[in-house]
Amino acid sequence: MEEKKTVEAMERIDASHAPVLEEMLLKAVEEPENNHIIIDMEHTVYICSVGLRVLLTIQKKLRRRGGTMVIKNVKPQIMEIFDVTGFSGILTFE
Amino acid sequence: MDIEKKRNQESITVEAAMEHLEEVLHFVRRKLKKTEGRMQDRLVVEIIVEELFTNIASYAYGENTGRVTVECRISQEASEVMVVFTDRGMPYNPLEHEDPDTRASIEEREIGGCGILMAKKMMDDVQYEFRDGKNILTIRKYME
Repeated sequence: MEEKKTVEAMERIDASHAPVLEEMLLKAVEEPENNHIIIDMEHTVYICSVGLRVLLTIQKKLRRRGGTMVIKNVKPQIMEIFDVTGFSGILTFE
Repeated sequence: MDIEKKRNQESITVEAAMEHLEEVLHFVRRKLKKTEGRMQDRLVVEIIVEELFTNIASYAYGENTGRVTVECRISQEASEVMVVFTDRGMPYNPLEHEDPDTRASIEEREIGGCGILMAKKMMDDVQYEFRDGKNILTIRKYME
């Protein structure tokens, strides 16, 4: 049984916080057995393209390893950003 | 080189560099509080401001530095927000350029162009003009 790790995304995924999120996510998937990650966006009210880049990077990394990345508790305005940029077609949501 | 920062009621002028992003967002945030808008609409305007400022900081002046003025006006009825970005960088109309392929696969997907794409889709109006040697990019959002 493969365990799923949950990482809580911060309120604002902006230029100053995106690198922190990236570090958190990279750390969470560092070990090859940590192949399934859940990103909880319950607190996230702000995301810009630097944040999208982080999500894309981690998604690609896990995909190559046969892992999964699921995003949950996405607020409507954040979902709108995913939709407008086409990221809702690339990311997986719960 | 000393870059003076002009701050008055309606606009802020800073060096077009990421270290000034917070300052610009802080200025816009303060103005947005005067609107009747919902929190999420105000946040969307901030996100677009971050995107467009980042683009100017990254590309407008190439290897050189230069200034950008961000003007933020709230209509009398506090229902509409207008933000104008003015820079003297190389002439560039972001509206003329092709949007990133939003249906690209994960391997082909690019991040570039997302900012202006978000502006076009999430703001009520986006206008560009090149006048007196300046790039002038105006976004408007009607706050419900």
